Amino acid sequence: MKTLRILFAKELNAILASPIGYTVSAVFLLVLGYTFSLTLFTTKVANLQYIFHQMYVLSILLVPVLTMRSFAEERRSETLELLLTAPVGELSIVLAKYAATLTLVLGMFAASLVYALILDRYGEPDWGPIYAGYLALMLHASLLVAVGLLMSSLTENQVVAAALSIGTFLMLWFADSVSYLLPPPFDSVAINLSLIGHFKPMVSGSVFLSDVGYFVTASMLALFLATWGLAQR
Amino acid sequence: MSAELANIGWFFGVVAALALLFAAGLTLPVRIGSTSRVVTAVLVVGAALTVAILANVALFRHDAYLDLTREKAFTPSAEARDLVLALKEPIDVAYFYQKQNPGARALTTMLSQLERQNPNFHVQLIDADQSPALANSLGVRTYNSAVLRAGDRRIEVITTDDREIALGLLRLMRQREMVVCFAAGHGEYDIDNFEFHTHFEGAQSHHHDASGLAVVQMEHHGIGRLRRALEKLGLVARKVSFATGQAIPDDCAVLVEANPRTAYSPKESELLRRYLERGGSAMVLVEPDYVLDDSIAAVLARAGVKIGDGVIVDPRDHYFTDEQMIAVSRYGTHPVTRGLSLSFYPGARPLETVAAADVRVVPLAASSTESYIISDRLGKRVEPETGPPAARIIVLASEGRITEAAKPFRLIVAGDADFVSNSFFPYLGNSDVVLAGIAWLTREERAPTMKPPVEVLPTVTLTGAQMRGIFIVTVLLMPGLVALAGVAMWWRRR
Repeated sequence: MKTLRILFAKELNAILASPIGYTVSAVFLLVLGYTFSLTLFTTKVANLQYIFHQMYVLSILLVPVLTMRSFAEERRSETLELLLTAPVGELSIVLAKYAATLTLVLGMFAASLVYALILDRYGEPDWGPIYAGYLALMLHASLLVAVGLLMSSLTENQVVAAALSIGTFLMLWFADSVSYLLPPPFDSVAINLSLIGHFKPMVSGSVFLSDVGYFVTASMLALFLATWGLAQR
Repeated sequence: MSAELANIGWFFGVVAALALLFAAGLTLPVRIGSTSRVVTAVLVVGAALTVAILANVALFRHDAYLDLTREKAFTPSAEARDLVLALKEPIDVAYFYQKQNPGARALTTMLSQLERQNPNFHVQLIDADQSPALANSLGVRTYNSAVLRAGDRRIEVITTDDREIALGLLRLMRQREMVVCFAAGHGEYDIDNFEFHTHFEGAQSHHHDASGLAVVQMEHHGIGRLRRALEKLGLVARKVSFATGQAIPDDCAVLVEANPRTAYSPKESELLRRYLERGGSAMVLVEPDYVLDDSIAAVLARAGVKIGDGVIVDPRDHYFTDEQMIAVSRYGTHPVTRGLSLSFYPGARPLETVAAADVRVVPLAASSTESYIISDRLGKRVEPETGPPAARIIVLASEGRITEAAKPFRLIVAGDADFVSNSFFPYLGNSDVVLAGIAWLTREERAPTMKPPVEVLPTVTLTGAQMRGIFIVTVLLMPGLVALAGVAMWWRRR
């Protein structure tokens, strides 16, 4: 546990010392703030559903930028071998990188709580969908970071890692739209693979535990494969 | 609720099992036996994927659901859930929704929930704009259309309301046509008449009680709204006249006698008796000023019912300020009254139960214990009755056998008729009373009658200064601070 804590602190420091985290966060908040204010002024509706969808799309595009260097950079600079030969388990390495990147992403999401406070100041928002929306975003981020790490662990080229991540997220996003072309039971499989299909109901306030389970199992699967892949080295 | 708790237990059980498998999987040797690294990798990845898929199937099959919205906007009505739970044969629903319509979006969520209730209920949610070819192939021409299919039967419902889908299901599941016959020939309410008027309190208002005079200019009250509601339930409404001496048709699942104005002849009463003897179902709604013929009173007495005279006045439970407009919020225990809300009866006469062999009578609705009766015949005299105040029955249900050899009949009698007329039918629980009554009489007691929830979006009103403030904080200040922190970090490490 102590090893994990030390590795986590090291990873977080590395992220905070890098300009990438700040750039990504600033762009994220700029786009989000612009969307929030324009949507609020136009619709005058006190909910955050549009913002949650915007955060969903932005995180699909931006999380790969944050995760691409995790392992790829270490492989390219040959520090990964050093790390793997050190007396720390592969699981600790993966979990530390996962927790550090997730902390940054959740920190970006947490900044959007200001929007909820603004709505509360000037209106009476329904808090149920807002809580559910943040739960959905946390789970979504967890999945994106886990898959991003897995992709980064497969290559030493950061751009390839980012492209693989974005490609996977886009495939998962639109998986349900091909369902009607497939015969049963593959159509159901395609529908249930869909990222947006599990995200959208939660954002509107309806929480299915199976949707929560989808994000949890997919995240665990990606982390398992990343860890097992490293162990194979 | 216990099933929901069990499913929540399932969720945590599956997640805990996955965590254990996760840890156990990492202790696997890099190679399994003498297999190559590639084969081992394929095996491990395949096994991990299989576990993840199986875990999701288990969670989907034991799903728990929370509607966190204030208005419970995404929770299907209890009636819709009950109907879906009761499905014994596979039903396919293809819902062509319009993404821009919030009601349609809410229905897609509700359909997803209903799908998880019963494996026989298959739902396909299709964005009509993205899949016009699919819509064409199913003959769909309108947004927000649900095509319900069971075997070779197919119906289309255009709606954004889960209750309408439930009604569609009910129609689809009904194997045969069910006819509700409305008696005609005695000046009854017309099922083709859709006229109605609204009511306002105050001196200028008109009355529906026995002493008042109707001053609204209209031909006649009708019950077209009731007919339309029955047709939505998939029932067929038809007029029948047995004044010609012909028997009440066998295909009448229910006979409704709504507000007769002229007396029955003994021969007609005999036809009604024979209909009940054959196991028929009837609903009899009579107004206070209607004079009953002895022959029909005898038939009703054999069914355990006596229709009293006079008009009920209830100083305690009445609708707005009219003491003759009896409001009922508590009902007798009966399948008809399950879940009923407040209903009201504008000018009602009292009913009584009479002893009859092989017959069970249940009072469904009654006035309060402070009510009394005034005698009235077309407004000629209005005198308080001398007896003590007591509860008076307004609606009752009776079932049993007219004779020992007869088939079991079902009967609902109300001492009021205009509560089902177009002017009163949609208000409060009036429609629920009559629709639940007809569902019981058709021996089909699962018809949904609940109204859908209405989603109200919370809005914000902002001044120009507030808008400027919000824009500065969210668009300039927040991203700007993060960018400044980045520049500071870069400067320090430069």
